[in-house]
Amino acid sequence: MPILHPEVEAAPLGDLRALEERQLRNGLLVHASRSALYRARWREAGIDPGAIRTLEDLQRLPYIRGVDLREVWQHHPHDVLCDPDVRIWFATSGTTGAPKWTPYGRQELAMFEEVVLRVYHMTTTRQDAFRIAIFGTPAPFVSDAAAYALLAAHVAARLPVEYILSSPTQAAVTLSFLADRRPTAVIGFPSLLLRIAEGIAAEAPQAARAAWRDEPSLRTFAGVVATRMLRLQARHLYRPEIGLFGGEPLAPYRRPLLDAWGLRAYELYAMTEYPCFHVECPEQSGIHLWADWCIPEIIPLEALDREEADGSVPAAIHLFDAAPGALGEFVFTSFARALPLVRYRTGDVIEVLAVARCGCGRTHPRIRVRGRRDDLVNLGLIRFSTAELDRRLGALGGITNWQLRIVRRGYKPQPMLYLVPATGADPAEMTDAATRAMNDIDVLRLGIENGLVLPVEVKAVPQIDEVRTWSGKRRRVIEEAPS
Amino acid sequence: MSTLLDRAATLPLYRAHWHGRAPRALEEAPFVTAWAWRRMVKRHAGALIRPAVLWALHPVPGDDPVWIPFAHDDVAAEARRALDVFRDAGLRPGDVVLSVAPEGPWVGNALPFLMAAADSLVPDRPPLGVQVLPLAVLTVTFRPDLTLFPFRRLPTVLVGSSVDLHAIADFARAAGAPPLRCRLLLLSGPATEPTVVRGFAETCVSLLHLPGALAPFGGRPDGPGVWLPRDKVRAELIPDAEWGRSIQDPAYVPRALPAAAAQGLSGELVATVDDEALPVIRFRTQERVRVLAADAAGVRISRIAPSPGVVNGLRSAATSMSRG
Repeated sequence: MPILHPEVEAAPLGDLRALEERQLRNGLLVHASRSALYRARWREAGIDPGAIRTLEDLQRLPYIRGVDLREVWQHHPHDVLCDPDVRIWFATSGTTGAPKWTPYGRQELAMFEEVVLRVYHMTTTRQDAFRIAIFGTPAPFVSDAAAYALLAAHVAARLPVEYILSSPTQAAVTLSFLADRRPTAVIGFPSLLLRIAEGIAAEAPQAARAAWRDEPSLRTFAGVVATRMLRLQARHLYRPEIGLFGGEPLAPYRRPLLDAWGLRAYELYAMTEYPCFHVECPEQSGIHLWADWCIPEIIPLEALDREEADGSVPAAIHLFDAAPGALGEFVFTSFARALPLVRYRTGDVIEVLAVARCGCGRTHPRIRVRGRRDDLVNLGLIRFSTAELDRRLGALGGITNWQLRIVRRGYKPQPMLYLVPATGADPAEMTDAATRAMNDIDVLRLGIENGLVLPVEVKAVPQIDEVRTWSGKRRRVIEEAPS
Repeated sequence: MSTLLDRAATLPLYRAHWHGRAPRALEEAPFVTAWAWRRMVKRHAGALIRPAVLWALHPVPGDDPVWIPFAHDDVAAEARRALDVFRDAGLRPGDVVLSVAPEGPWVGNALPFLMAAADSLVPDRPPLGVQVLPLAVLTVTFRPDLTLFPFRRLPTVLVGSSVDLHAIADFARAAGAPPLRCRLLLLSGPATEPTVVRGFAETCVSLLHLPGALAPFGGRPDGPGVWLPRDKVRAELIPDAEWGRSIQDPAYVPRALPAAAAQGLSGELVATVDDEALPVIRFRTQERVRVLAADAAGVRISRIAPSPGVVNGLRSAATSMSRG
């Protein structure tokens, strides 16, 4: 497939490294120091932003995290921006359940449009209409508004796309429409698209009979017969060629998506804080992390474990210098204008798959997102903090210890809570109370009610089989079938 | 108008709806209800005047939404028109705009991006120069603290429907946000009490979304109502009495008045909207409006609340039609 801008996308790593250093020499950090996010922090660390001119120099700067962003927005909302030319502030409910607002200026929107076009050329060579059905996310996540930004890029470039904007809340209206207007591609969260596919399979016979009643014809009659003879799947009705999936690791869903929709699934990695998304190429050997829009680093897993044990500040290495197979937390410095993020710890644990040139010709390093580092119960689209769970269980009284194991039945996650009742507490009562406490977590209840997460199972046990890091820290949330 | 009808007559969708007889004048064309539109589009979505770059859902009061296609040129033209609508409505460079959207998907969610990112679509016009903070009501129901940041940025302009604004204000209050008081309120949704409106802003300008238009239609701070320019919309009115009779007797075909003949009257707005992909011709919007003024350049209307009887009648009529 053609590469939109080979001079950048297929540039040697040395050129990309030079491009990143050029950003530092051209005053990226002096510009960033206008924000209250960095000023005091760097002053206290004795950092002169003008003196940071190389990638090695960058290592001297302190990291920032999501909590720092939230704090500065809370306490200095009028002293955050480095450039007043902000067009739109973008927010989601946040991976950790705590919202963050990110300013996008003209440069950020231009970056977004450029990435949209790169992805278009990565995933299709079609000359006719590339028909894309986007299933935005319902509350409590984001609405379909962001899809219009994708559209703007395609329209400005006059590409032959056709967007069909929908959401799971309008699935019935949309699926009826899509049956005639078959999409080439679908975009959404993998768990939601699979949930929609389940609905299609379950309701196909009824829908076929309704279509026959509505418009008796050979075609609709064939539909009725087909649903009697075989269990119709989404792939029989819609046949999209590809799917772009983000918001949760694709690995547990890739095979079920192929079975249900018959499509080739591409994984997409994006975050609210940074208007850039990274996608797999047709080689499907990892997500290309665009290294011309940021300086990517990784904090190796061992350093993270040491940090947990003794509180030491972990060192990061440039992603280009990481060995294939290296695991660690993704850190980046963005080239944004409105608010550059400097050494931002994402909390995402990534695996570096390769830093060599890909079979597609692109040189940007390839990664896989393995999960989250922070204190989070991650059920894919459904996430909440461990602290919230601990608070709810603690409020019950009568529980001395607990552990949450996340297992998968098929592709769906199921939380299994093991608890140790206090002496004298009734195990059955504690089990019931803990079940109610978990179901009181809004986002979890919503996930269960919508079939994205299997119902919580709670078991009272005499003792917990503890899992610890090498440094001895107890892990309360364990993913039994990691993606 | 004959050009629009001629273009429409090339489409199987309208040929079928018109039973093969192309109308010579707009008044001769049969109405299109939301139910009929859904059926027409389902059968003929592949045959448009220009290829669609976007299919978006347009909500219809008391009924299911309808799919509306837009061509490349529609999106660019609508981005251009949006700049005029927002400027006429009173947006100024430097404004901080809090845009409250209902749950998607619907065409109104294009509004924040039409405000923020029109540059790439309309490169020859200066950008609006405003900051937009979009909030979705249902998202906020799960995260009331999402409101804290936009409320603390002291928005000068508030955009949303009369229904959603109260919800957002309640959530913000619960989250401990400072009270909101803006210079300008751009209000869509059902008509609401002026005292309620004044609780949010000094000045209120109405917005109205019509099928076939990606950008809203709006008014001006110094005058009432919403302006529908004739080069984009041809407005007609089914007066209340006719509308009521058509609800009671679905077989009855009501009579619509051209806007110029309906000044001062209230009733259902019938809209003919020019759209390069698929013109919308004599669409019964189920929006109750009053025609304030009409001239050769366009029509000024105000949205008024439908009576409960009309709402219930529409709902049951829609249900019986979809079953039938």
